[in-house]
Amino acid sequence: MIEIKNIDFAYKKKQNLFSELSLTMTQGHIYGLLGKNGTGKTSLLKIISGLLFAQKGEVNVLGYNAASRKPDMLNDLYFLPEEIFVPYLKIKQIEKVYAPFYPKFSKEQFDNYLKEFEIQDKNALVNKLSQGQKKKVMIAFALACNTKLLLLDEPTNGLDIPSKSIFRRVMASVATEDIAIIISTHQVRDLHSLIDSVIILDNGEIIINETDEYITQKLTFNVLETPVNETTFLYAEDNFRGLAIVKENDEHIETKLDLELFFNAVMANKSKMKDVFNLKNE
Amino acid sequence: MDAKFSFIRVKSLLNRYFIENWKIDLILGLIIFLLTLISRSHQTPLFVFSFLVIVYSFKLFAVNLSVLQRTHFLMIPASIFEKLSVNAILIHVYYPLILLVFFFIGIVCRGIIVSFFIDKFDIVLESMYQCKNMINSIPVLSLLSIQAVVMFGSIYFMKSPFFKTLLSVIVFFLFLLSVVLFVFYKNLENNAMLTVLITEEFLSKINEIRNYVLIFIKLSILFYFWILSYFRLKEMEV
Repeated sequence: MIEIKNIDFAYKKKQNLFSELSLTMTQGHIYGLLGKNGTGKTSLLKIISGLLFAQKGEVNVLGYNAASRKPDMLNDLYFLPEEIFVPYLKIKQIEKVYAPFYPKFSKEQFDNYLKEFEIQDKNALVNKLSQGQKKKVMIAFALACNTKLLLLDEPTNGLDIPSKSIFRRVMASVATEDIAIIISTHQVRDLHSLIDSVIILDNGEIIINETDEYITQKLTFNVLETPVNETTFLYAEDNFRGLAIVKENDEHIETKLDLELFFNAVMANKSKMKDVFNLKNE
Repeated sequence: MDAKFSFIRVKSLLNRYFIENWKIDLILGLIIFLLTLISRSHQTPLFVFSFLVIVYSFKLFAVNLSVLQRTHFLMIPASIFEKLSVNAILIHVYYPLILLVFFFIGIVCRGIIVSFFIDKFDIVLESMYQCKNMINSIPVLSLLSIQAVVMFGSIYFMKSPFFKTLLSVIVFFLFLLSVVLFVFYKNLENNAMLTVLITEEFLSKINEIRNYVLIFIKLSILFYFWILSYFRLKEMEV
């Protein structure tokens, strides 16, 4: 579905953001694109959607060269940026104007998603809504387009706590075998229990690109209520429940992926994590 | 060039435009209507008409206004050629026509009002005369080529596009003027050359072909800047 081969990318007059970056993403997954601020998450999403062009290498999306921005690619791809431009229209007009561009758009689904997000009045002017409400309308629209590829850049920014949980529920309900969803965020906690594959970007480099299943095969995530004198942890941090630890899964124990703990562990110990996941250290 | 041109997408793009912009177009049309109603001649409406048509060409793409608008425009699932074709229709056909319609309505309304005060006032004849005057006064090709230049400027320059477009055009014409003056100055120094060049026959021939040359230049500017705009939009990044 997405194949990025050895791309170099730099903004004008700046050093390379990505060098020889390669990445493959397949349908049937919800990818969490994680990384600190300024690590290139948005740039990567823009390269995938054809808004930015790699200076070297290939970016193949849905069988098309992303930079060509062919209509057949664009109508099967929805990119929702962190900050959204909304024309001065009512919600029902947004549907009337933009739905015809997306052949698989479902009015029924749009109405249902709006209902889920507790937006009742389709006669409301989208520009008059709060930032969070606007985002919910556009998320509902994006989902109703039923595109094969959904790129969401920091979708939970601006959403209140109940809306974040609605967002997770709705996203989980749309995930099917035919589509790929890529959610970029620096708020790792927001994607908890939603994503099934993790991509961690740091300094323009992909440190991790694994499924949650594989991560939990390789690592265990536990919280120790009493301190222990053990040095085999890959990473440990104090939290309100005790000592949260990440260990290599030598005993093949099944634990639940703690996304935030995993992210912190990777950031704290990149080379060790690469070793664990058999990735080449540079 | 994009392989498949879809009239359905073109229709959707036009539909998008009309739903998003009909109010502002109506307001500007009403301005022309009111101006026509209160103006004695067609000169003022003509000036405002030309001004609005040029400003419209400048504002239509709106890709220079913000990164968000640029993203929005580029992500609409239609090819650049389709988007450009729709905007060409809007800039060169729809908008001038819609303003002219308001002008004609203004002329007719003015005629009706005047007929209350003047006996034997022929509304139809007078309106037709005024409309003919207006249409004949519009420098169609010049306006089309200016629109194309301004439209390209709005796509090419991301910051202060209006000022930069204006400046570029002025600098270009100053350069052209200096070249022409330089050539004539050099020829004046060489009288023999000048007498060979400027003869009665030469001047009459120049007059003969001048109009064709001007049409050719204006059409070339028009197509050249649309083609440039196409490639600029194709290569535009956000």
